[in-house]
Amino acid sequence: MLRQMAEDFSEDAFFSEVHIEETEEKVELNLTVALPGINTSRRMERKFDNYKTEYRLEHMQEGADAYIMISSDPNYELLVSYGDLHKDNGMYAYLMIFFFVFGVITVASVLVLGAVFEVSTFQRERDFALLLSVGTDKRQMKGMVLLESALYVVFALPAGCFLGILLFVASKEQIDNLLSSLERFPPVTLVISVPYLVILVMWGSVLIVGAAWKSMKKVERLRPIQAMRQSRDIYVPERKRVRQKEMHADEKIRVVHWLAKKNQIRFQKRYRPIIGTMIVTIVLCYMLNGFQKYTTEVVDMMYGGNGYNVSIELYSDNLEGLESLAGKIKGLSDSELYAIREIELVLSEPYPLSETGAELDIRRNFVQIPTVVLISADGSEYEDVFDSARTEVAETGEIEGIYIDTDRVWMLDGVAYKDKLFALSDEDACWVYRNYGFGSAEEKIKISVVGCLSEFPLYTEIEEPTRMAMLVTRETIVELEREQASVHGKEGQYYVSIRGNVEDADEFAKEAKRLIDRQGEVWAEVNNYAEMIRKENASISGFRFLMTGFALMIAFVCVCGNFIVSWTVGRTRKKEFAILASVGLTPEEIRGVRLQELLMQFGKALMLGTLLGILTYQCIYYMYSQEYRLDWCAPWEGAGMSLLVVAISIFLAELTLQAVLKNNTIAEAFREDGM
Amino acid sequence: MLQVKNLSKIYRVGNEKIYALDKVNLTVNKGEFVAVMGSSGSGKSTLLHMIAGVDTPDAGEVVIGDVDIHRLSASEQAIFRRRNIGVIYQSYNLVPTLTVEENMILPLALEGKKAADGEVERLLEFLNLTQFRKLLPNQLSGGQQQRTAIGRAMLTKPRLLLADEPTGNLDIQNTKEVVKLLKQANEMYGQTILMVTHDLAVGKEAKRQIVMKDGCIVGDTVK
Repeated sequence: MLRQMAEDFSEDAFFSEVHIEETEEKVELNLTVALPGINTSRRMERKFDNYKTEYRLEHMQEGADAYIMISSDPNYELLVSYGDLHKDNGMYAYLMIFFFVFGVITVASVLVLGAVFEVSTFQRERDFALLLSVGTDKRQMKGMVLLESALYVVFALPAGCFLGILLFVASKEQIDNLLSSLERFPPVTLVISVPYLVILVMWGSVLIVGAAWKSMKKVERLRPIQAMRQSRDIYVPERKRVRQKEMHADEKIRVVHWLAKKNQIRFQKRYRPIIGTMIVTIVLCYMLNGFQKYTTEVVDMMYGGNGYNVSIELYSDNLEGLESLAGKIKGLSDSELYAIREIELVLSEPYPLSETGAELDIRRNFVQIPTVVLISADGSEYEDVFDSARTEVAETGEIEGIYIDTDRVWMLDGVAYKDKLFALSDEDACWVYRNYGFGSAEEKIKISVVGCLSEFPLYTEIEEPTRMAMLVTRETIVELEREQASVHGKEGQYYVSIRGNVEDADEFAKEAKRLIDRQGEVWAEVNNYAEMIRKENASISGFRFLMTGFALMIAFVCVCGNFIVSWTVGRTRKKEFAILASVGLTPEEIRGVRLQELLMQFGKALMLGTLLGILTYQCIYYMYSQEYRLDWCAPWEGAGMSLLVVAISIFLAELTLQAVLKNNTIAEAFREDGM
Repeated sequence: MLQVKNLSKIYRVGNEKIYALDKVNLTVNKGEFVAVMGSSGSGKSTLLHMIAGVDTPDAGEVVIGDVDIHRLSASEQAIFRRRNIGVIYQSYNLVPTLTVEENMILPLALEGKKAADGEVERLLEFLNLTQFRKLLPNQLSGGQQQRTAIGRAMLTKPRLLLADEPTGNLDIQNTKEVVKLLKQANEMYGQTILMVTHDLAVGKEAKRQIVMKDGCIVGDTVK
């Protein structure tokens, strides 16, 4: 079959090299692509899947003396060096997130910049009109606005590049932490690429000129007569007039609120980009909250319930060597390390451990984590070890449910649970397939759970990967094993599993590896859970850092835009506030009008942002709860952060307005309007 | 009812001091219609602004009734102004987002008071603004805007009505109308009016003319 595949692949221009390697135990087909690219691994997988379907290679096939299993193993290191973006390596997801956030920041920046240009043009309308009245033509006027915006490119782009490099240097450690969770990704290095710089400059120029486009159009529509006006008319469009509720003489009205409402409608458009970026910032706050909360819980669930931070699995044909090695490894640490399994036969999907099973001399096919461990015992045995505190036993001796050890994580239908009471009824008994996953549905037998143990005669603890442990009668085992009589095999391997909590897991793992290498004839798997948790947490921390950075960047754009728009709006409204003061509004009442206007503007952002933010938060929860049973928690941190953003924006806007209006008497404000 | 004592306002331009008002003393009695006249830069508008409390003097007092308004805080001044002073400006200074009627009742609303039954309608009729009551300032002509400003100033029945060049931006016809309205307000309602104008013809309509020059009162005649 592999030879046929090799022949077919040799004729496929996608592969540059096709090579078959045969050993006593296995046959390997090695493939090298001719044209690597961004989606190389995905294309390879697709080709391979097609062949697997065509040759029906998905199922394990039994032969007289051999088992055949087909698996593909991409060389990710090589693929990553090609720039491969296969989803499995995670970079794809990170890049998509990056581009999404980059897009959001770009749009927000352009909108805010556009608003700032617009306000600036509005303020200088009379100046532009004066220029028109002395003979400047519209083309020259547009050129002026364009040149001004081009100057921003000259100043902003180098500053932005420099700050970007600084930011990269400052956050390199966090980026490395983030990428460390991805397989085979080396630490990042700074690369300054001239082509990318050119693209960046061009892109920045396009954005800034694009932001100034509306202002250019506005300047084009100016007329020289606008220079002659002594004071600026404030035009309120028809549709806004209709929406404004009128005040009548016979009504008792709250003037401050009523004035604020009218002004809020008037300035809605000017604040729109600020409101937009604020909504995005609020959504990011909720996203950050959700990600932080549920990822931490998942990591805790995955690793926290283990009760140990290091585990070593040793396999060898040499029992004496294995025992000696296990002893040396246990002696490496003062902490209590225990061997949880010292048996003759290695478990696979779930082979019984009865005497009957041992006599059959079942061969180990692959080292797999058992889905179910069946342990045979007669009535007298399981009564001794039965933990009545954890189960409920009916009078007949059959239990109603299995209560799994609370510190364990266990799986049911692909969902991870912790501390779950799993109930079984007679109708809903557990099914065990005779061929343990390779048979058809008709070949299953029904077993009733007769007991549950937290400790087994042969084990000191249930292994973490074990999904469920059930105690069944000897008769059940024999019935199951009857079908295995035809399985023949060679001698099995000896297996020891050692685990425990050591003080310095890194050092212990290193020393253990050294001992194992020295021993020889032993195949070992050393799991340093402390390191895994550290890596996961570092990756989470890296991701959180970047997300926080993005949120801060957008918040910064929002706050800056808010400051500039508020400042320029404040300047244009100096006379208006002076009129209100001259009519008799006190400074406190005028401040009340301003504050209520801001609350109405930013309150809208808060409402919409919170709605979208909670939706995002729910999506994150839903995403995680597909695989892990998590308790939903209200997004208080997200709510708090978003309130803070809005409060700071309101405070800043109010401060800005106050600064603009300060130190002016009413008469001075009237006089300035003519300037 | 109005006393101005040694009022001074100095502007500094570099090292030079310019006396916009130079120790001005003035008394206006209740029910008087006074015109303050003078050439541009004589200090008449500055004097009016000081009396209205919209600008601060460098020296002197402005006493309305028995209140020295410049000893009040900004809030107290604003409250005093809306209760006791009505101001009409050359450039109308209406609130752009409020209709004619809303502009007129604004000072009253700030006091939390309702207008008496039919009072607004009568005033609108008096000012010939009934059909414009729901329009915004930018939909009105200059004369209509100024009449709205007069209505706003008058509705609260202030002790003192101040008018700063009320006809400055108006054509002849509207000027006559506005002056007629002010005279009627003074004659029919006994309103105390202090009007600043550079227009001699307008100034002559008042019963008392005060002439200013270089920040000082140089003439004070009663018809």
